[in-house]
Amino acid sequence: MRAVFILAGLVALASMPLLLPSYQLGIASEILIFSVLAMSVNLLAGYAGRTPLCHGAIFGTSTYVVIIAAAAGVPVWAACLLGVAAAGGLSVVFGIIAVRTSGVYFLLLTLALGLIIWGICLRWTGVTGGENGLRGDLRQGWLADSQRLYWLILVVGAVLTFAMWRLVRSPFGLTLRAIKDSPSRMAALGHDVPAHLFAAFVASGLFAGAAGALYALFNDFVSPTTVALPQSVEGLLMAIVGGVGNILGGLVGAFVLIALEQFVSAYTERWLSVLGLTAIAIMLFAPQGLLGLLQRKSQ
Amino acid sequence: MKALELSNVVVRFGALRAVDGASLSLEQGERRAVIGPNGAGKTTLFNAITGVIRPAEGRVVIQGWDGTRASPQARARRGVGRTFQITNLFPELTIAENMRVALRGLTAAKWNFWASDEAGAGRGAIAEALAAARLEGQDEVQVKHLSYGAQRQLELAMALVQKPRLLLLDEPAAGLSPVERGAVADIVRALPRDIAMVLIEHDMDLALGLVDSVTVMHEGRVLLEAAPDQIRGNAQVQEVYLGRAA
Repeated sequence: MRAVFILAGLVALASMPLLLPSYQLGIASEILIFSVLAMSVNLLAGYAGRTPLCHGAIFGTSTYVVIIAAAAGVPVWAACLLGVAAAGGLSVVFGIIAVRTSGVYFLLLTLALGLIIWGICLRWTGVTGGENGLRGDLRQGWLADSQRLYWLILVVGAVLTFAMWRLVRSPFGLTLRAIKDSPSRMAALGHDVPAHLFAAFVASGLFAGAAGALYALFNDFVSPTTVALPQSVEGLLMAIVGGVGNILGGLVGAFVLIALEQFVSAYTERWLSVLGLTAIAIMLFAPQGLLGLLQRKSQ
Repeated sequence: MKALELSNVVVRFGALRAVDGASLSLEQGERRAVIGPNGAGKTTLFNAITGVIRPAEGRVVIQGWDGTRASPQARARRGVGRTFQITNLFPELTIAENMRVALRGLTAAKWNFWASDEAGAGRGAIAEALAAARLEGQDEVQVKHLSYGAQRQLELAMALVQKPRLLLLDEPAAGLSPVERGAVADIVRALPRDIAMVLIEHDMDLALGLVDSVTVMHEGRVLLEAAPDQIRGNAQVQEVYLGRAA
């Protein structure tokens, strides 16, 4: 039954380019990209019990590297791989520093690490273009068509979602959930808690990097805003709104927040306040997120 | 080879010497109770043996291996299993998942990122440990929904599934009803005799009925080592528990 639902969902998503006009298709592409970012945040926040505030920086670093590498003549596919590799490298450094902390210390440490990246992107004008950012030249040839780009994003997003789904249902995923419950017990049972958290951090960073590479293809522009704190907060908020501890929560959260943003901003300039109030309401009345609420209602 | 040898172990918390030069030697298969009033240093001694706390002085030798500076996970891999004074489980996981996490603590299977969590999970060993802890037939129950007594039994099962050579039980019957305490005593009594065991327990009758020897601790020091029969009427033991007669 579940397979039927998944297949139906994929068919529905794949048919979007045939149903939606160009602008709305762009929004759908954005939802898919940010759902991967939110899922990557969810890996740490929902499964390992470590809430990061640096994933916007990891995501945006990949975007920068893709655009810079492509501008230097690297083929687009190779530039994307370089972007993911850069995100992985950054995650290794961040992970080494952060995994021995937990709770508010983890949150603040990852926030600080993200701010460092933002500062570098803002000030290293010769490479990053500073405040003006960098315009890419990626949407050439095959990628110029927004329908094809959407399908590419959908295929990559589906593969990444499947990989994350397998990961959280694997022995490694169970180990993460147990670490979230009791790190001290895990150590007494012979588990190397920091090593597992480090691996989870790097895996999560690679997924965020893949989302960042897709964003480079989609947006063809990057600026310090892409690596700034609000980007990290947005990813986290999407994970929370959709439901932490449920890998598809990221997709639901990205859809709700981006769709709401588009819809509300058409009617009022105070759309950010409306978004904030919506997020507060969800956290108060559905602390397990919208998917958690749905699951509870269906039981 | 001794199962455990502690030599002059000192654990300090600031100016307080919570364990003050404790020495203890345990043969393979021996069962030892560590008793003493509150604050005697029993749990701190456990934490020094399992690596939760590193002693300021002294040596902790496990199965001939010097583990004084080793991490808790390294000691667990050397065959040290433990239960906690306050149950320390994974409440959001089911019994089966708790057991799988315990079993994988000592194997590389925990690093599998792709296979299904339930595949190749040593079902036989898990069933055997759950049976030893009398906790069969509830595999899919979430731990947070278990009674406190059942949680205590699961603590034991999780330690047993790792087939420890040295098992440390920190008040396994604390907070249980008399019936549940009897059940826990039966489970402990039925454990394989080749496992060396150290037991902390405030219920003197229960503790003395389960062990071969007793170490009495007082103010961080080892006051006395004797057989259970010699402990019951010992004046020194009565004095540390009840205070000096006026």
